[in-house]
Amino acid sequence: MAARGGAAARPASAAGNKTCQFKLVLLGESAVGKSSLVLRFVKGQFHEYQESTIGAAFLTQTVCLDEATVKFEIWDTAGQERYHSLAPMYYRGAQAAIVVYDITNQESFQKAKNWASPNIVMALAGNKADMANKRAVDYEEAQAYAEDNGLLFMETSAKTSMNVTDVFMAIAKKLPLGAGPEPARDTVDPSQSTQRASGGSCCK
Amino acid sequence: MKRARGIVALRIPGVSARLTDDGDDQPTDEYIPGTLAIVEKATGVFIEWTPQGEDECGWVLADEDSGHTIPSLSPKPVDASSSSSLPSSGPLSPHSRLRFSVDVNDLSSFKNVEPKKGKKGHPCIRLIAKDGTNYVPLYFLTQSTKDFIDVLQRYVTLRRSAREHQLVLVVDEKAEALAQSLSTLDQNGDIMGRFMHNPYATAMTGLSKITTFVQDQVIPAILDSDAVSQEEKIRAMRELRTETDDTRLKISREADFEVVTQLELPPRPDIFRESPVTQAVWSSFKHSDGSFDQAKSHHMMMNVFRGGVETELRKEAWKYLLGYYEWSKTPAENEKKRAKLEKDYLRMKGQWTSISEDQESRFAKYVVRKALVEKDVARTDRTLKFFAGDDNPNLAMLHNVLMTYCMYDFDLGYVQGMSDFCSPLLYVMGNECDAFWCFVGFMQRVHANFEKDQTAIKVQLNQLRDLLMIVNPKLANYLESHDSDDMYFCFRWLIVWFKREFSFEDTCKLWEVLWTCQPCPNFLLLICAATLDRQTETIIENKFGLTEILKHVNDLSMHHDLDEMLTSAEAIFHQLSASQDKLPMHICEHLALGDKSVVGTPSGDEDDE
Repeated sequence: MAARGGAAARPASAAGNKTCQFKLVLLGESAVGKSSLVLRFVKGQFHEYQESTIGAAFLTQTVCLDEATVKFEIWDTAGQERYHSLAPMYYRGAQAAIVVYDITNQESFQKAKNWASPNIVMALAGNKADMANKRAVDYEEAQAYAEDNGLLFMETSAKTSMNVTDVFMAIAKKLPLGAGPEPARDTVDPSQSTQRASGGSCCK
Repeated sequence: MKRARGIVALRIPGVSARLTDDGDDQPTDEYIPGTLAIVEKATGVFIEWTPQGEDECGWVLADEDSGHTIPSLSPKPVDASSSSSLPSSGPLSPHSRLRFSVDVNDLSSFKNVEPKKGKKGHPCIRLIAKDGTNYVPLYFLTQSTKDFIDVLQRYVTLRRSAREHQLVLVVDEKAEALAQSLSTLDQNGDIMGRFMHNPYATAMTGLSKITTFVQDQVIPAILDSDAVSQEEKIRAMRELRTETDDTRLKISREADFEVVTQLELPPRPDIFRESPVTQAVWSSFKHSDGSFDQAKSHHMMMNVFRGGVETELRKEAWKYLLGYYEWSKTPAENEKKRAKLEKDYLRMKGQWTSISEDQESRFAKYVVRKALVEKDVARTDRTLKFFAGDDNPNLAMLHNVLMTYCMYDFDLGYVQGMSDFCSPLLYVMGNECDAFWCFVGFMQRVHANFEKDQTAIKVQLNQLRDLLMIVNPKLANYLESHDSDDMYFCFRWLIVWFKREFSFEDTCKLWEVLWTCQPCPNFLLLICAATLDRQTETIIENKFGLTEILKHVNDLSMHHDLDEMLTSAEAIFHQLSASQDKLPMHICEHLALGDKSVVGTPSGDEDDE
């Protein structure tokens, strides 16, 4: 149903071009900066001691491309594995995902690799790039992994806002902006890489 | 001016935003002065609020790209110091995060609260967007809200909710017209009618089938035309669902079916909170040897339930409420117990503090737990003075207590949310050992919430839904028809006992009330039900769906009225308790109704100390 599935179109705004709505989820281990990335992107804020996310948060933000306006419905969920059994209801129907890891934490990069879904637009974000002096994950290694797996890749910093808007813009550009009849129904699942196919978007 | 300027249709200085500050030990409401404006821009009409002293140029000189939309970016070189092009980047005043701008077309409704007659105060407006966002409450200090509403009506049609007079809805005329024509069509075509003659349809499941049928078959057929946008389809579906709800009530009456959800409850009694238990009252309940007998301890629990305890008394009272100290023991006996438990604490603390780095390299399970604790200690209540600053010894204490708990219950380990439970205990106790054993007592009650399969939380969410079916069937049915009857949007409330919804002080007050297990062990669920009950019209009249409900509920954080929540929840308890012979068995079980070990007498009797 459209209210849940995400891809429902809005009539074009005053700008005159079409508006597309997409559901995007943030994935990744706890404390890698998922909420901070969203907060930076949506509100332009950064809190050094951003509290852990309990349950899920939902935010929206719009970006303008030349050909369309893309409205992101962003779901930010708790990172700790204990809560993953409850997460599927949030990433159900997502058309895009940003898998976040912390460049100062090798373990978080290994965990990031567990998330896979071939049928949605995915980006890998190496966050906390402002802490490059404590780097534990090579840029090249992450980039190579992303390339092999067809993921967009950027190192980001929610603190300095480096590449934050850019990673969302890059996703927006990769999303199918042409008219599609059905909202996407994919599920993202850690450790599960075969998903049923159906891309989709809905624009007017 | 070369740039296209926004036209300011209305500008009202002297409109303050209320900031509920949780940063200090006592909750304080701060009013941030600012200016409210309605601005016409090339991209639409925006309602904007700017804190005083902030550059209003953001909107006065607004060009076409400003507003909530991010302009298209050209690729930038990777540069750690580059800043995003978001509107609020750049040098900021402490309150600039409150600044907002909302397109009137994205506005769903607003709450318009006038001060009570004869009482001092200022009228207040709180905007609610279609995506469920609640904006910061705005207080009109120098004038009424009339000008604002008048000017706003130039752009959108407003209608006051018939059911909640404080709620003003933005009416989408096109959608309303469409819904009207749909309902006419229904009557003519008798699509709904045919289904309603089927008695089975009066049962809940049958009705949801109607809704599904209408959505899957009828709506696409009616709306299969390019002229109708997707948005209007969704709106029409929602309109229709509301109508189905109304019809549901009607047919269940006509068909003379006993629908359990239609159970009529007695009116809710008026409940009043009492003042917190003082040190003097606490001491007067003790025997001369310093112990409490069973009747006195029970009486004290009731007092704590009705008023909480004074701040200074918490350090002592919480030890009893959490089962660390025993009511029946003398202070000397409890002190003896404490001395023994302190040794236990130090023993368990020694177990992990003596693990060397070399050992860690072969102790993965321990390392995982340690990493989780470290990550969360660094971001638990850091806005509180008690935990502020990087080299704060209280952070080390919180870390030590949580790590020692990992050794106490290694199988459970550390789960997110535990640091939220531990922080107030440490704050009140002021030392590791007492905080730890209070934490153990607290965890005994909530242990199941953190277990791997999350069954306990799911059970509670289901129980909450069952309760809501009785307490507020209208809302329960609405949630069901909007894919939200899993009640998952209440997850955060339940898992950390509203810690994220209240100021630190109010959290302490709520928890000590809940630790008394009065008037029933599941009082937390009644608090959830009472809180949702209060949001009924906002959720339904704004036609919130799954995402908007979650966002709305999350945004209520720091805007709840604790005393109101507690009295409503207690009133609901008495309502249910009075009708327990009519209630379904499972509801009685959820609340342990009929169990004489918990006593719930209406409060308000003044001779009660």
